[in-house]
Amino acid sequence: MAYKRIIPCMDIKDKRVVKGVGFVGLKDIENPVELGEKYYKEGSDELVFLDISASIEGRKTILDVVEDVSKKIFIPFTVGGGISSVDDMKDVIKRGADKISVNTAAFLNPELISNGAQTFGSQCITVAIDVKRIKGRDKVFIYGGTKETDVNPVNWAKYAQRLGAGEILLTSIDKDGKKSGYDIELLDNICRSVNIPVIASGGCGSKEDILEVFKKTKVTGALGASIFHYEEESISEIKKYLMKNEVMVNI
Amino acid sequence: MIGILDYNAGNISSVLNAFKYLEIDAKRIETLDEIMKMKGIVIPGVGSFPTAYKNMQKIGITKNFLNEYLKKGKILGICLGMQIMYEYGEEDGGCEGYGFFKGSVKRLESGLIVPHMGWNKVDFLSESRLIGKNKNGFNAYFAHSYIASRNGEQVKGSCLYGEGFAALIEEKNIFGVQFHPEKSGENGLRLLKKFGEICYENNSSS
Repeated sequence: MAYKRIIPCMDIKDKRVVKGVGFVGLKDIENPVELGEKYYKEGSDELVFLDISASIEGRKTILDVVEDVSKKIFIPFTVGGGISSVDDMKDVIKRGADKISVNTAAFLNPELISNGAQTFGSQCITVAIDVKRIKGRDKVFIYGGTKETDVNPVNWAKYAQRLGAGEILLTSIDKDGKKSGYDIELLDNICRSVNIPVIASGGCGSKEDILEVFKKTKVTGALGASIFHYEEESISEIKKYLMKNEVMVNI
Repeated sequence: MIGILDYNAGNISSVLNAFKYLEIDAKRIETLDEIMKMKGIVIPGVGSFPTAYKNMQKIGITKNFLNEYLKKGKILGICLGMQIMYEYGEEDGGCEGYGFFKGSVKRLESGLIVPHMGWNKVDFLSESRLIGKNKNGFNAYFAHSYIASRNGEQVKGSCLYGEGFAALIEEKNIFGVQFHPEKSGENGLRLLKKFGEICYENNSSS
């Protein structure tokens, strides 16, 4: 069977990797090209690059940074942020991205998913869903977590799958940057509703958190930012720990 | 020179980046004339079987043309680029392929999480020029929803996801890999380097 994936995520703002808590209070971390190369060499299975302020500022993803990163890494490279048309997707893929992550634009115009999947194949289209719990109910948020919608994430994930999404990247805004573990209940709900791969995001603070999400849900990948940026755990240590606990990973 | 065929169905940049990193001369090509000048060509591919096959035909890449090219040149098909070398693909209503590899390409069984997306093990079946006698197999990155049978002498490596399927196939001068060597870290780079060597060594001896 396929190995579980460990995926460092670089949130990019002004061409720098940043990290906040609950999508706010961003701190500067590192140059994305150097950090991306470091993660590749340390044995990460994929890399995700999200231009987090692109949709809010209404501009395109920073193509030159995508290109510079892609020349240094030989693992799958997902790029998101500000991609709102098939032409945008083409531009990013031309610069070396393997997968496109769409969020706000796909929510506002779901045809973007089907058009993208028809052009590049489903395996190329990742639908990112940001979720926050409001009065006990899970809601999809768009525009980098700044705008609440009335949509339930399970329904949106199912619909995205029907349109041809190849993967769901599910982020809990409540858990983001808190390093207290993934939102297991939310992830389990989504995994039970779709049969495309789901990547867990938001809340990863330790190797135990990663083990927990793989043991308790059917997610195929665990995404993290803080845990890797602040060098709290190395990728190889995490993988060794997972193997010891009978989670198969690529070593 | 190795040519990376741009037929509107593949991620050309990743493959080019990999060859550049390996210091093997490679460039993007899109015409029959350009293909004939190459020692080897790589046919990448994402998208659907029928679209890819039709796009190839549009350029004029017929089976006869490929047979002519293969007298000297080598071909490496990646993912969909490998699948269209089979006799038939079931995707999107079905479509014939080039038929260099025997059998048809069918959808992964239902009940699994599809696409099969992530790292998996390539198991050794028999010796191949691309991976030699690496009986331990190796890990590689896969991203696909369709598979070809692991049976047959041409299949040199297989992978298990729900069922076994062809991961690495070889017939004379034509090679196919279901995984993405350009995205499989050091293991993949090693394979691409080997393909580069095969392209050059046989040409100089003939």
